[in-house]
Formats: sequence, C-alpha cells, structure tokens
Amino acid sequence: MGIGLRRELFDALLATHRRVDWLEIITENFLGLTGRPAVLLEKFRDRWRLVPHGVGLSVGSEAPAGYLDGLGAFLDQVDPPWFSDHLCFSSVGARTWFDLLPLPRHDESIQRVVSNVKAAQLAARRPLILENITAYAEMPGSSVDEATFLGRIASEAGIGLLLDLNNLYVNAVNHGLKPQAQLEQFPLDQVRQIHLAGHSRDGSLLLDTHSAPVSAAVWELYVQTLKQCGPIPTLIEWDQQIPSLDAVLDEADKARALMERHG
Amino acid sequence: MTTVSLDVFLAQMARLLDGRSSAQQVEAILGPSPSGTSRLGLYPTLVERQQRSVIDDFYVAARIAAESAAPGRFAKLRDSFLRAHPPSHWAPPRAGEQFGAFLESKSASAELVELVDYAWTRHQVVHTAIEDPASVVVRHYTHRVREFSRLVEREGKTKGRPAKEPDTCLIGRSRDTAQLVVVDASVAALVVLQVLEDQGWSDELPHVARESMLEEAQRLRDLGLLSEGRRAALAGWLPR
Repeated sequence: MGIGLRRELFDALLATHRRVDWLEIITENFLGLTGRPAVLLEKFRDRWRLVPHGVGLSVGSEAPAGYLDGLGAFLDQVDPPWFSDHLCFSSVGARTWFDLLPLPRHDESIQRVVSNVKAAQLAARRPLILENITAYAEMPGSSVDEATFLGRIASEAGIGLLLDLNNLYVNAVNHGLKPQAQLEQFPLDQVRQIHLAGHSRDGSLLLDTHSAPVSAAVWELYVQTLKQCGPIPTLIEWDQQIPSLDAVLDEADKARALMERHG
Repeated sequence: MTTVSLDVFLAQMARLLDGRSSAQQVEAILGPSPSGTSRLGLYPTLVERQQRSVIDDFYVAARIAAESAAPGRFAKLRDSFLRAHPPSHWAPPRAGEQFGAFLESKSASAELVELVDYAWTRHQVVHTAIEDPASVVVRHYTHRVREFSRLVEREGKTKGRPAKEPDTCLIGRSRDTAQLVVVDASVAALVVLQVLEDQGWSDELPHVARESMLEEAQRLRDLGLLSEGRRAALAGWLPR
C-alpha cells in the first residue's frame, strides 16, 4: 500500500514510524534535476520503493522536447518495477498545458499511443503502465467506448493499466453512467496498479481534485475490484488541501485492511 | 461517421485551449462532442485556471504585494505574460522563468521585479548541483523582499508590501543538509567566498562595502565619535 510523495509530507514521512510500503513520486518533480531534488530522491529511495508517476509524457500526441532524453537515466537511479503516466495528451508541439486532456477514441489514436508507448519504454528501459483519466467531455470523433480503448491499447502495446477508481467514478457520474457498470466493462485483467483519491463538486460536475478523503462510493468500487482481481498494488493520492501525514496514512491503512479482507 | 485525423484534432484542440477558437468553431471541424458544446468549452477554462495557478503559486509573495498595491494588477500582468510566453516546457516552474524579464519590460515596480527574482533565484539555487558555483549567488535588492517572502510563505501573511530598504544577501544551498540558506552578504562573506570558493568578485561587493561603511559611520555618529557633517560627507565620497 503506497501513498503519493508530496512536498508537504517530506519531513513527516522521514520521521514517521507508521507503515508505508512504497511511495509514488511525480516524475516531473525529479526528472533531469540536480541539486536538492536529487538529494531528497536518494533519501527516500534508501527507505522506500519509489515508483515514478508522470503527467507530462503526452502519449496521445508526442513526448515534449527533451522529455525522453533523461528518462532512462532517471529510472535507472530510481529502479522501479514500472513507471506510469496517463492515457491522454498534455502537449502539442512546443506548447504544453499542464493538464491531462482526453483523446478521441479511434483506431488512429490507438496506433499513435501504442507507437509512443513503445518509444517511451525503449527510452525508459522499464515497463510503462497507463492510467485512465478524468474526461469532462467526450472528444469528437470517438468510435469505441473507454473500456475498449484502454483494453486495445494495453493489448497492442503489451502494457498494463493503472486503474484510477476515482477517475472512473467521476467520469461515470459526470456522463450519467453507472459506476458499477463502468467497472464491470473495464479491462480488469490488465490492471497492474490502482489509484484511490477524493474529488470535489463544482455545480453539477464532480472534479478530480484529489483534495478530499476517498468517497464511500469509490471505496465500494475498490472492494468490488479486489473481489474480482485479488490484491493489486494500491496508492492513495492527495494533491490539494493535503492533510497531516497521519490522515493520509489512515486512508492507506483502510485500503490495506480492505485488501486483506477482500483481496 | 467521417473522422478527422488525430493531427487535425490536436491542432484544433490547441486552438481551443489557447482561446484562438471557440468550442463551436472546433466542433464545426471535428464534429460534435457527444457531451455537448458547453462541456467541450470547459477545457480552455480548466487549462487557463491551471496555468494561472502555476504562476500564482510560484510567485505567491509577488502576487500578494502587487494585489496589495493595486487590486487586479498582478492578475493582469500574469495573464499578459502567459499570452506572451505560453508554457512550452513540461516542468511547471519553467513556465515562470521569463516572468521577471517580462515585468521589467513592462516597467513594473522594483518591489515586484525583486520579489519575482527572489523566488526564481531560490528555485534555481535549490536545483543547482552543489559543485556548481551557481549554487551560491549574491543578490542586492532595494526592498526587503526576503523578509516579506518569509512572512508570506511561512507565516501566511496575505496582505502588505516589502519595506523599501536595501538588502544584500547570499542565497545558497547547504552542503550538509541540502537546504536553502539565505543570509546577509557582508563584505567579509563576499571576500571569503571569492578566496575560498573561487567565486569571482561579486558585482555587489562595492555596493555591500559602501552600505557597510555607511552603517558604520552612522554607528560612530550615534556614539558621538563622528560629526554629522563628516558622516554626511562620507556618502558623497564613497563610489556608488
């Protein structure tokens, strides 16, 4: 059971005696950086297994200039079992938006993503897994549903998936679908990791803000996933309004207990 | 259904996200979003919010000082900057790299330029290898920007501006803890760094030396050991 490594938690983590099995680090916070980030990375790596999770690979378009150059050396330094990013685009050419943007779900997108995944894995010398994102709008031109899109990419690229249950739940609610049914359609046999996080509400929309405890509905989806798939490495994400480390670890303990009971 | 190519989709989305096209215009080329035009039109707002927050969070002390001086001023400058320098690097802090130069080109106030410089310089120093001479730099400010930044960043001050008072400091990273260290740049410290660390003579040395001598002259005057006339004459005599 892991938690996301965030600056606000650095000191408390290094001082805690509570159980933390592994940490997920944001790739872009450390990639290619010298100085204090490199020192911190070493400190955390000495104590925990680290798994990089990126937001900037942009597999739906192309990796931004320079992104892949240092990826292999960085991952050699961290030595994770895999690294992850999102099934989306976040940059086009020399322009980047710092957001995870949905793709149209059709054959050409699948081919593009598969090709970019292969290039990224070649540069990284490690397996990549891709996460399902929150999409507030369906992009024009889609010809397959999300589950098929994810499943085909995973199969054709030969990679695993990172199932973000909060994203699945937020998407289902925002698009008027049943979360339970969405989970049943998800290619669960290809899931290698799970994300759990909280969301917030803005008018009629749920927003994937990672600013709250995991909701009861998402915990239910987690139990259902565990019953079907068995134990899967799981991570608690908390990125805004970050509480004390103890509060984050309480969520991790809860997830661990559920995994022991249902996994 | 006719599907446009992925490259056309990406190009059209880039126009939408940068506010160069509306959701309706994009749908006219790409076809309708099954979620509706207004949902598609959310994306420019979401990415704009995200880009603004990158600058706002990185330059928080500058934002608070600018807003205290003239409400709305920072937001206007920030948006103008983001239009002139749309982010191109995958690392969010790099989005604000040119902000200081941009503010200078817009003749922004010295306190704002200095607060931005102080934030960016600390970021640079923290990310510089310890063997690199650039891991210790000297900065001279005309305002107490480090004190104000500390109040904002560590004590949550949400209003106010830095005092107009000169401050020359050393900004570096500890070789022992890797933590950022910011201290007064005394004449002795600058000379020691030059001699022991081969830093090269700091451009700030004459300035620091002048400030240091003026402070000493004031101290001697306060002690009655120097006349006011002689103290005042020193300011004119020292090179600027």
